[in-house]
Amino acid sequence: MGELVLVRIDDRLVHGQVMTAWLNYTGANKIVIVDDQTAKDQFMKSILEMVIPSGIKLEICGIEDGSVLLRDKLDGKDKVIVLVKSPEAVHGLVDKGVEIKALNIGGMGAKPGRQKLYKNITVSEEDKVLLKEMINSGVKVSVQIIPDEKEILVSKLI
Amino acid sequence: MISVLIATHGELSKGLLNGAELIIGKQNNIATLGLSHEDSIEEFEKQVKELIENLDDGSGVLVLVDVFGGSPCNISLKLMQNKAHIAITGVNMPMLLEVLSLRSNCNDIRELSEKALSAGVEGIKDIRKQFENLL
Repeated sequence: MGELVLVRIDDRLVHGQVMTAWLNYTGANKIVIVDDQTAKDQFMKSILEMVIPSGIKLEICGIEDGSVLLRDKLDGKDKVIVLVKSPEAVHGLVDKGVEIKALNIGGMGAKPGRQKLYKNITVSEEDKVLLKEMINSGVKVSVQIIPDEKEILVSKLI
Repeated sequence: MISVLIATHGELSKGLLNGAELIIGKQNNIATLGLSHEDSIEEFEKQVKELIENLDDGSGVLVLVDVFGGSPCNISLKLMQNKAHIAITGVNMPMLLEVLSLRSNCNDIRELSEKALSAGVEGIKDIRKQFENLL
């Protein structure tokens, strides 16, 4: 059984902060992107394959396949960063039996018309419900954009 | 920790550090220096020299400059007669990020500078060409 070293909501999925700071900080050797839309987009998948540094394995799957992979199919040596775009996706994984102890929010909904949670991280009413549910079931949910910053517990923000 | 001085023309050095800190967080043991129109070259040299001296905590200083043959480069080279710093030209974000990410675990300035060099070069790509078969 591998280890989930970081489960992160970041609607940019793979970008500078993840590629540089978090890979380095967590020592991960695998990135699993769980996003139904990306999993169906061959072009995005090919691009993501090519920007991931050599030596890091990448899997891109929908919630269904992602949950099977994270629950049952990880290699013992896998140190995995899981990237999703929304609380809905994490909630889906948890629902399907993936054990998630901590959830990092690194980038979500930087656009108008949503409620501000912290800095440029915003939530919808549905997001709040899902996050609260996860917090109540014992998941440590926090905002931390880059490893260098201090973690802020979401329970204190909503 | 190995210290870093970014010395460039204009505000480039500040901008590079600002961008890098957005990605990997606030940095210590680092300074930036920009040469502007009104600066005297002697004064700039003095500042580079002092920064190299002040930054060095014993682990050495890596100087990242912009263009080969430009003043920041030439001054770094000139100062090598009396100082042990290493300088690399063509500083860019991939290079800077590599240096700043690796230096907490690397005390060998020679090794760090070689990694900086390859990251700087490997970070430059024509992405249309690279992704041509997908477009």
